[in-house]
Amino acid sequence: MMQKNLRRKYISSTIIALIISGCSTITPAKKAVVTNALNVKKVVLDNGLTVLIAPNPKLPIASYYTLFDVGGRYEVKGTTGATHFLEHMMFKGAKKYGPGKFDTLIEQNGGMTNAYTTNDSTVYYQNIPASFVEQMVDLEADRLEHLLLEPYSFESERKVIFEERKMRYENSPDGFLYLMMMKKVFEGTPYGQSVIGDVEDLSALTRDQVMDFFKTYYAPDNAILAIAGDVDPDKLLPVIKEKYGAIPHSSGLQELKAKRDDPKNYEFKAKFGSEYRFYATNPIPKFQAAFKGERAGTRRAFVLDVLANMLGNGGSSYLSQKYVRNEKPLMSEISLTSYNLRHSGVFYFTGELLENVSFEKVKDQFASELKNFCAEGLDGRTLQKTKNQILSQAYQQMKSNAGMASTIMLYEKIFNDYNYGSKEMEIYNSVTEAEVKKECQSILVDSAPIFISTWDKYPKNPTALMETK
Amino acid sequence: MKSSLLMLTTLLISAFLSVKTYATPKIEDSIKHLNWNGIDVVYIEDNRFPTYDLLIYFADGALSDAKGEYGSTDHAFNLVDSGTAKLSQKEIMDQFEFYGAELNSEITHEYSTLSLSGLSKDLTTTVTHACTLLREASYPMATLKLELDKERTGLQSLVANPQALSDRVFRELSLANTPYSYPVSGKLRDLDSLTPAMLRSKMDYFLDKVKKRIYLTGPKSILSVEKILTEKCQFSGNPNDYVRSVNYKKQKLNQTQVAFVPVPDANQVQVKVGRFLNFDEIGDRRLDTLATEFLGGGFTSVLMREVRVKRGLTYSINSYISSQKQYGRSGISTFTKNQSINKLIKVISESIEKIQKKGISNEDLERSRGAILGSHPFKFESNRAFLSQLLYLDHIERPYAELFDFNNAVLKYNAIDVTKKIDEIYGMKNQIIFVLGDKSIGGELKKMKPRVGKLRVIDYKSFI
Repeated sequence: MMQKNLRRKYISSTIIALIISGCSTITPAKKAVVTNALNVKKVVLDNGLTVLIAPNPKLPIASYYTLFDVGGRYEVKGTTGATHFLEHMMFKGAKKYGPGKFDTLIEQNGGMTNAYTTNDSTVYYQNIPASFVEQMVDLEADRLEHLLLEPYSFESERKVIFEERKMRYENSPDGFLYLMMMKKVFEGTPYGQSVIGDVEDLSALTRDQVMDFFKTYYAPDNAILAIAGDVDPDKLLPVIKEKYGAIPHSSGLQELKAKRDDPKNYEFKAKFGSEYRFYATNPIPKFQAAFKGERAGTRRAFVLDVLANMLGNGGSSYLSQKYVRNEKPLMSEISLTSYNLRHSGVFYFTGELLENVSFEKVKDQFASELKNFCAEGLDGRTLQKTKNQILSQAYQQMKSNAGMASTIMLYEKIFNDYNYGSKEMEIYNSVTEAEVKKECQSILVDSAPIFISTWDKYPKNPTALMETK
Repeated sequence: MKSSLLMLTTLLISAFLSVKTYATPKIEDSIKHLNWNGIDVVYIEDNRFPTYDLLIYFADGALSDAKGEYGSTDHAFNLVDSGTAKLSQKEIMDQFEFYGAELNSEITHEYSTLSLSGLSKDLTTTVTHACTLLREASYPMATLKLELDKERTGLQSLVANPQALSDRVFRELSLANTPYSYPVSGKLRDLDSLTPAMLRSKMDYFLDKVKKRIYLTGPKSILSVEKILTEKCQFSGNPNDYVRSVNYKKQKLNQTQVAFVPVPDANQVQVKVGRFLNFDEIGDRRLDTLATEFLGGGFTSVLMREVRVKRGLTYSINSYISSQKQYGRSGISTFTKNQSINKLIKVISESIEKIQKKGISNEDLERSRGAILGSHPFKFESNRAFLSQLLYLDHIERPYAELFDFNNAVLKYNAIDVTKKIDEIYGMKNQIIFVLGDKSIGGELKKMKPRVGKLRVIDYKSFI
């Protein structure tokens, strides 16, 4: 039987992170109303809240998404994990709907609610009966305006987060490998901190610190609300204006964000060309080889996305055929990801060796063969295959209300245009083979990766880091 | 090729445009029953997107694997793309991937499913390709060896994935001494016995001897797939087609057992509580849904409140009753920090005992009832998921009315019914309590008070 979705999900997966990251600041036109081919109504309230409504009367259900432009990147040493901790506490009661009411009301009406936090954003979402949407507006507006942050549940939730941390990282070699890769690649930048938080910081975080985060970043002009489903925008918008309209916009937030988001803060400081080895419980070595990537929204980011798909997506891909599915395979799996955050990016390989294959041999072979990938793995047919796959995935994404709400919300965040899907397809379609080869050369041949591996044969002491280069 | 992408982009946009005008007045009216060459076909028309989903149901599963060929059904389906006399695995995969199509299979003990999805404009190409594989897959030895080596690596690595390892070991333990306990994909020792001839023979058995049904959704144009399925796949149906059925001796646990599986260096312990359900313990699935929702279905369920919200012992806990045609499983699944293992088991036990002794309030029941009634329409949001439910109902030989009359059925159950169901299924007197964690946990479990059952220490390696 399928398990229910885990609640208060902390998502650091590449896929979510890819679509979460953004690149532009919203400068909304007050009370602007836009409708177009996507059948979405967009309104920006006086307090800056951007509202997107996509009607779909197929079934009496709806999906309700709220994005706040705050993630791990705004934390500093000592407060890592605060954004994610706050995400948990958002479910612990507000003024009108006290402790236990938020979940109870949603669930007893047949809905589900969850949230996730990334380096760039925090997103809350609900799948609910259409008849419950107006009450959902009231519930969300209440916790945005009057969050309680009860001391008792604050301590209880701290324990829950420690268990979540163990589940996702400490007892998961894959999660741990990813966490260490991000720390090393973005060392010294706002993306180099653990989004779920370092143990010491999580232990020491106070209610006041988390409340500061809430007061600073949870403002209507720092949020996007997207609703898709069996709703009538003309009836729903007055309700949204009534419930959210009186919540004051932020004061000084844009200046603070501009300071925090200064491009200089995000310049790479890591030592590329280094290697790090960490003990984890995996009996067969796993590794990641990470290069400097690209921030989201640029043409280069699209090209790198195509490059990653061309080389590594699917069983027939170049990487799979070279290392997994040939006569003398070295690995049980290998993938390539272009992770475009809002202000930076990382382009990384992930692999797991086959049993009884020498790690040193694979590492050396892989490093020496990297420079051949661009010449051997890229051609016109593979480019077209990648474009077809991207289009097919786009259809799948838009088939549900949740997919629709999530997509238009993220397009609005990243491109200031909820209808960016068609433009995005045009960009993907315009990417040429020569362009992909040029970027491949630039990233895989002309630069060096940070190489990180985990294995249960490495020394157990977690601080026993081995830097071999 | 470039122009085809542009055309599809236009289609994508027009699909968005048409969303507003699409409405289904009554969901069951959208189901059409057809018969193609003796095979029952269930079709749901969906014109919103130029895509198709095809499910092919086979009325037999891993129970068809005799000793010495365990895992052969699973591998015959999963490796159907490993090669033919004319096509390599790479060429086969490239064909599907080029069109953005996906071919997958799912094998259970009782039945098997092959699924294919893609763009409707590519239907003929992709389904023909799939038929070629079904009829001509030769499972080349070299490719088979590579795939099995990868699988060995995956099984050896399970120890580093406590959740996946505990799912696997608990499943076999809780279904011990039944026909359903052995993993459908086999174990490490079984991989050596799989041969190309065995897999080809198994696939032929499914194609030619086993009863099939077809489930399809997409625009009306995709009904042209009939010709491909009947000619290229050579699908036909007749009354003598095989349907798996089993006679087994009923199982009964006389006392609760505690099974401890030590693994190295885990600072979190996996916990499961559950048991096998005999064929005569499978009742109305709507009542099962209500009972599991109440006990461990959502954030406001009894167990989530007691274990996570009040005590912060875990991040997640859920309960389930999962039933097939002739058997079922029940379970509670969670995890906690090493030091809290005994406390966690105690809280779970006491929560269930409280329900058994004091019953449940109507207010609490209404919360759970509201949850499953309100969420019911989501089962129809994706036509693919909708088809899967129809397939399941057909498999367990229950009418579709169980889906469409769901609300009325749920409304007829009261607090006493739910209390009784929880008592019958989750009563702590005859459960397997499964604990997977660091070896130091063994000492903690011995200190457990009150002792809930005999403690067994089990080596996980015999389960992989």
